[in-house]
Amino acid sequence: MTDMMDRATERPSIGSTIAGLIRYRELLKNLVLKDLKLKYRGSVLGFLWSLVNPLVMIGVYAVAFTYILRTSVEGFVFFLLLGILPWSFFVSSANMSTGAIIDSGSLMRSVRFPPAILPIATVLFNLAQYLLTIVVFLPLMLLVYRVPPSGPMLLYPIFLGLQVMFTVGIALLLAAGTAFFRDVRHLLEIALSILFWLTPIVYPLTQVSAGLRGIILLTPLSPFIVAYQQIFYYRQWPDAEVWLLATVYAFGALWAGVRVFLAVEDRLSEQL
Amino acid sequence: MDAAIIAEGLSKRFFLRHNRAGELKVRFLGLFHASKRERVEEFWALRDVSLSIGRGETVGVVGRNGSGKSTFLKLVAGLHRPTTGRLLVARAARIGTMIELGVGFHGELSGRENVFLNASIHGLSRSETEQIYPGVVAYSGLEHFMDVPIKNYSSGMHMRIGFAIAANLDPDILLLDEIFAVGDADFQQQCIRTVTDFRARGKTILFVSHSAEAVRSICDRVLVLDHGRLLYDGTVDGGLARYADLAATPIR
Repeated sequence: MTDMMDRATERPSIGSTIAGLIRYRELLKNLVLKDLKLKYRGSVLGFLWSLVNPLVMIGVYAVAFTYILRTSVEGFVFFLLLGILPWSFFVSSANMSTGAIIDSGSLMRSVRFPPAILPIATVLFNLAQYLLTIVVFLPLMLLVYRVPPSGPMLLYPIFLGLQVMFTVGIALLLAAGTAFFRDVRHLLEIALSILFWLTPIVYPLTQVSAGLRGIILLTPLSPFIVAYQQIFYYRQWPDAEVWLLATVYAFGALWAGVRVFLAVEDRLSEQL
Repeated sequence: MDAAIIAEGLSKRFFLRHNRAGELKVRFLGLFHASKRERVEEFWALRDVSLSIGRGETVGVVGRNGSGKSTFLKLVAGLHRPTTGRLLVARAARIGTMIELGVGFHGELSGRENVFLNASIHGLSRSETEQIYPGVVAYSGLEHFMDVPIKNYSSGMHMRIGFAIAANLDPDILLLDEIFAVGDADFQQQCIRTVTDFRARGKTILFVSHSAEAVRSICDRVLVLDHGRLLYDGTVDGGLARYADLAATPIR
């Protein structure tokens, strides 16, 4: 008698998902490459477009805050860039992940593969774009503002890794959530536009009144962005609470994302 | 004979949602108007199906539209979960599905890029794909079109490349859903040759089709489904006769 499994009692588990992701790593790679190729194929400027978008954003905010709102932050463009690039990485990952599952309906109904790959590929695609921009802009800023290299800068990959974990967790939640409630897309849009002003991107945390500072630091993206600012702009080791919050948010979001996704995974193909 | 697939009292229920409550608007309006509330209708796509399919059998699955043929295939493929009963599938078996050809193709990508993307959707590694690639190209007969974006392919070429990938995946259990319904006579001949070849190599094949001719030419057993129930399980001639009777009676 051959070893047989019962389709009725098969349940996705963390173990089977990790095994699936490893087995399907080629698919993960291909999905990310496909999105990158599709994005740049046929356009004259190609990947330079990925630099134009943040440039325009930074330009607009720089003008508004330097000449109209008269910010007191020295080297405002450098400060702004440290917040706005990782913010954009999160925002575009979150927005795209809402469609990761529901826009792949026919695929999910005809081929079996670990569906978690779809939102994860979305995050990695956006990570690739973010890294392209940071690799160009960060050294440029360090040169222009004559920032000498310093020890805390070595921590950048660690906080980037934590932000990726956090973003993957949120992407899993959003991808699964949208399959059940299409309104997630619209609610997310509103939430992100509020969150932008509750995250110290266009203003430094130090400028916030003492009473509000704690609240601002607690918003989901703040610990990551404050960490980048402390590492590169203030050239100091990140504060203990920044470490703590970034770690808790990263592991917490990933844990919640994986748990929720696994709980609904086998119902996804019937929700589309 | 070693079993490849065993179903015991297998049933599958779907929920048909009218006024999906997936939208907040529906929930809100539903507070005031009963008619705008989400109505969920139960639909049993399969009811109490029991059967056993041995390794190396080629089984035709026939029935009218909505009889549960595709649902049965999707349950075997693991795309949906059975509602009640048991469905045993050999754990080590690689399952190849040709449920929809060319799903996951991207028009902007070339034929070659699509082959690599599609093969990885079916779980192949890069080196495995490189091994089958020449075979896929030869089988499709599209040697000169592999660098062309697939959006410029005719629908026939689209199907050829989809089937060429599926045919080269080398699964142990092959699930085919209505793939011969599309395509010209040439393509259908090629499909039948491929399935016959799979059969000769001892693969287990589940073949959903409306074509009595195709079923007769490749199957050694027929299942007739109607309204989710297994009406008949036996010889090809008996099954096709039963299906012909069924098709002649109006749908209730």
